[in-house]
Amino acid sequence: MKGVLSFLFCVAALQGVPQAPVPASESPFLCNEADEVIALEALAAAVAEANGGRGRGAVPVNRGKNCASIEGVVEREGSNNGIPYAEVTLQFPNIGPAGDVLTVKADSKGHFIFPSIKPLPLPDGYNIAAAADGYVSTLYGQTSLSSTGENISVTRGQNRTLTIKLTPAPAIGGLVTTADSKPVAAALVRAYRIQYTPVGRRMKIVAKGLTNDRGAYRLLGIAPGDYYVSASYNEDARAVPFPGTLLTPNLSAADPGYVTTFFPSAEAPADAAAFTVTPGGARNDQTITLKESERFKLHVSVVANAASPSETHAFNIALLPDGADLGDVEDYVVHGNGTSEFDIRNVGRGHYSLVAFDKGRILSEAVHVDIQHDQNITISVYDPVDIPGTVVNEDGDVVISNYRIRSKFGSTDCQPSCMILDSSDLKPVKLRARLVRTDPGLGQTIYADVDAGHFNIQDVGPGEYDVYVDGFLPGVYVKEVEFRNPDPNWFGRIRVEPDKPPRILDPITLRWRIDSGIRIVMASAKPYVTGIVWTGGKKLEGPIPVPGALVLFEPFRQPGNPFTFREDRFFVTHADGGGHFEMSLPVGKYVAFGFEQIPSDLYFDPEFNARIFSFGAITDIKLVYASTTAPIGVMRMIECENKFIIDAKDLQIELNPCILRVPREQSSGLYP
Amino acid sequence: MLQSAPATGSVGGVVVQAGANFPVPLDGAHVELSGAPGSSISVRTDGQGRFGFANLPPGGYRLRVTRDGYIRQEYAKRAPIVIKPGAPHAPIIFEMQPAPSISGRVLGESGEPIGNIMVSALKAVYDSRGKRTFTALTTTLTDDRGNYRLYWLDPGDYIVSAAFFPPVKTPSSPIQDASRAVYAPTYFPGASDIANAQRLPLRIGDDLAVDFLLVRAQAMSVRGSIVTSRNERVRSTSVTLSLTGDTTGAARYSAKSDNLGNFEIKNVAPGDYIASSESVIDRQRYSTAMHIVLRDRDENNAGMVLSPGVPVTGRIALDTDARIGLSAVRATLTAVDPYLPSFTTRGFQDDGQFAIIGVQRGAYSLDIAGLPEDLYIKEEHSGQTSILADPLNVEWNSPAPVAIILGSDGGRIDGTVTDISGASAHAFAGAQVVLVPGAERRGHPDQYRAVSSDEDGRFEIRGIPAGDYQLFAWENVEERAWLNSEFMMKYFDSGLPVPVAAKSSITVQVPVIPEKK
Repeated sequence: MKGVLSFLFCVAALQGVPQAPVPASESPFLCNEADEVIALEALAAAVAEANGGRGRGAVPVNRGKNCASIEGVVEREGSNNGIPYAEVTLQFPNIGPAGDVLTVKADSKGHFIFPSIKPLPLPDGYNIAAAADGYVSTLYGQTSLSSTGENISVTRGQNRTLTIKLTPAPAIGGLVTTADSKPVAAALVRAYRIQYTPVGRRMKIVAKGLTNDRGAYRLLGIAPGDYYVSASYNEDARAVPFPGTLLTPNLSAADPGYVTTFFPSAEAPADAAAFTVTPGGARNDQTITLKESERFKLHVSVVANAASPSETHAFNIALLPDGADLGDVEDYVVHGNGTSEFDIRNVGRGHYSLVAFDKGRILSEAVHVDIQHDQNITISVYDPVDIPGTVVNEDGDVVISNYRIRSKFGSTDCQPSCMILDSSDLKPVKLRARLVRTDPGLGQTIYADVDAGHFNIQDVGPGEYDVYVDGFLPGVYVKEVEFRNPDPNWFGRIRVEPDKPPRILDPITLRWRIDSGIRIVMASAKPYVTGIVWTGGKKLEGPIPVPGALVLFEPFRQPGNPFTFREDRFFVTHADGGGHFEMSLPVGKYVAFGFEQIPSDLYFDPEFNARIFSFGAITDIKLVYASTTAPIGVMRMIECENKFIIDAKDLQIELNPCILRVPREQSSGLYP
Repeated sequence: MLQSAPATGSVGGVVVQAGANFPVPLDGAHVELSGAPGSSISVRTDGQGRFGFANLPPGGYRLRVTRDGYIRQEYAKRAPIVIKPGAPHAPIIFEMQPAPSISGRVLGESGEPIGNIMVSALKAVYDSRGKRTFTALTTTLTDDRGNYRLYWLDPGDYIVSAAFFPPVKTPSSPIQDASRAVYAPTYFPGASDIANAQRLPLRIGDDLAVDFLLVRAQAMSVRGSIVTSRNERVRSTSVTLSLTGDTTGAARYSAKSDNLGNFEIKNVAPGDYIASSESVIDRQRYSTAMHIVLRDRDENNAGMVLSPGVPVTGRIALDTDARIGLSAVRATLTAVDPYLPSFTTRGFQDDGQFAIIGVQRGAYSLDIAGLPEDLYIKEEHSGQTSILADPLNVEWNSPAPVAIILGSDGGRIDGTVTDISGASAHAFAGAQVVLVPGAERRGHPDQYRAVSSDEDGRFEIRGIPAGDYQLFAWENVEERAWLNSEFMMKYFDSGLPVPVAAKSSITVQVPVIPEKK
């Protein structure tokens, strides 16, 4: 298979060799002919026209024989109404987070134009994405959230015309009532996006609203996905100012009110009903019923830890429901009286996590509380630490932090097509180091920019974290994570405890810092896997290739595999129009799946995985044949229909995982 | 020991709907009784609308009632309820009026609904100098269908506005990264300026429909530079813009300064903003805030000057130089621009010396709160300049020390408010009694005194600067309306003239000015 998906890395990014910046005119999109200057002017004119909001003027469309253009209109789904000022982006398919993009703004009628771009004939093509406020961002030709868009090929001199339909961003709405169906005014309603991660299910607050005098709420701008909603009606919830909303002085006090209640009438997220929001599919009937329930009292004493003689100053505490994210910690704050003793009243039954924090910095271990009766709890506070680190290649050289991918299609110096990494400062891609809390009941993600191979992760509280680096191209992976106090059982997992490793107080910043930080070794994945995704089809028809299928290689779950819980060891790509795919993977044992459609992170979920495991193709990637042109993967696999195992010995073969149609079970609360 | 008469009292009553032909009790109403500041107890009415408080130590209390859907009430307006030992207070009947609402839809030029627009019910009020202004009583956001409800308002004159409300960006919400159409603030029925807005009278029980049609506005940029007060460029420091109408004050836009201290915030909707920035330099907190109004053009020259602020020192003293207790007194420098920060004393030394630290450049009025009742403010000076009527201007250096002289030789008025409209005059409780100074001093709000008559119609005013006054007692009057000369025009003939001499004591009877029904 040839085309867009065959790429090779010019490994400059991993070797720390800065290359000369590329002039701006060498855009991968703009037509590279003698009339390029005109192309740039035309683009500028188109952009200015869109920004100015005036009627469409004479934007010169380049119809020269060597260039191409794409124009069209962005419309509201189900209508012919143009969406004013939508942003339309030209990009290359399947290149991960680091690709070049070219964005134009539509005019007041939703009309857009890329006046002069490089021809990109079949089998290649551009992807075109459109985005507008209040709509779901969509790729042209995208049939589901997880599918790829259609490749838009353009030949020399061609002017292609497209209509891109956007669906309005869905809303979640309903009523909040008491058990006797009385509407509840000014109740705080939150929507939580359910995020599936290898270490557990998380719920992140993505929208908040208040009910009106009729008890009605509507949360808008909801991205498609899986959700919980909850309602809180008590003075604690009322005490938090709500952005944009000033409540009437004629509102009666809520008093103890009701415990936070999840749709439809559950005290704990575990008993709540999750539901799926689809593009264009508003949920208008999520009525939450508040009920009188048993409430408990928690008394919390906060003590400064003796092992950490620190200047720990002000702090708050927060009580987070099971699965909550510490990024939302302010939403769960418990208001104290200025001392280190806290009384939390009116807590509903369930599992919670308790932390101390100050301005978003987590100061304590997460204490898990199972509330079935009144309790006294003591938590110790420590100053969080800064953890420095480096990102290096296998030779120990620091990697270039910010790079740019240039894609040269059809040019003579890079046949047949490839991508080149360089260190140009045009549209740089930022590398970010990331710590992810591994606590099954409590999520947290802490980011730090990587600058010239170095990073400093600030304000890390006590706990256990997985270490990641984001921003590399597909095929570059974390090979080692070194830390003074690693978790020996898991790859890339560190434990941060007060003074392990020793902390030093920086005399200038007055911040605690770990003296020896994290060292992350990056490597290029050499084994190369190609394959085709097909349905079993009927016996007579034979296999049918599935275009745009999502291909997943995930770590084989067996004791001793240290990668099982690492999200960056779940490798994903999309099949092209012929059902073909290609990807680079590090050596290891995987299970491969093809999906026609799947929520973008559901495959991380251990429970989901347990259910689909038998559909997967177990793939042992062991042989490495180093080649820049014809990479070979050798693998063992399971053919889906008859579970027949083929042993392929040192042969270049195609992998044929089957298409999976995983039934979406209803109403279990587990799967939408 | 013999049991004496109970040393406590009680009060109770019923909450009903107003205007009904037969009593309609309101259950679940929240009745709050407050005595000393910070101490209050509350109960909810039962199914018959009844409430009661027992075992109350004798004294003055305030009694308030709220119930969802009705206009909140305070017993006899502002008059304290007096609890006497032994005997229960006479039963109290609260008649509650249904609160009015405003609702409607916000649509764009082509009829499309616009979500996340902040709609505000701006109620006409008098500000601290008696100027008629509009202040947000309630705000809400439109939903994705453009619908909004501003519910349970107070009756009165309103202006309704719709303004673009950029949400605070969150990393997990990619939709918000999409391009945004922005809208200029619009006042019903379509004015871009509050002066041209239509005033909507809202009466008990109304549900007014107010729809908006918003026109897209040009997004603008705010460009400028950040320097310190020593003119050093401040790099890599955030400037944030928050909307003045936003109750949370959260930053809606932000940008960081480059290596030359320059910054640019793009795609800003028209509106009134506070630009603010702060940084720690040499372990000292530097900050600044300024008002930026974007109408139809970019702000290209926003000069943010970070400074640690300056201390404003002064002394508060009696005209007799005797010592006074200052523990409850607070001196506050209130920025003339209501959206800029104010600064307050942290305490006074025994001799009345004080320092307000970190005061930013700007114009301030010096407000004194918590003065003992017998004292009045005689003079406020900074150096030779009086700052009683004019603002104190703080520049890059500390202003001349402030001297606050309190007068202890004020006069005193004891009086009764009477209702003479009926067959026989009787004492009137809960009237708003206002002492208005003579014409030459009417521009000075500190020369006015406002109290309310108690359950027996009585009131007292102490610490009155010597001079001529008129006394008014309104059954109902908008707060601070008496500071407004236009409002007062129709009353000046009916005021009771009261000349107050130093250390004098006068007893008066004031007829109540009945509310026009």
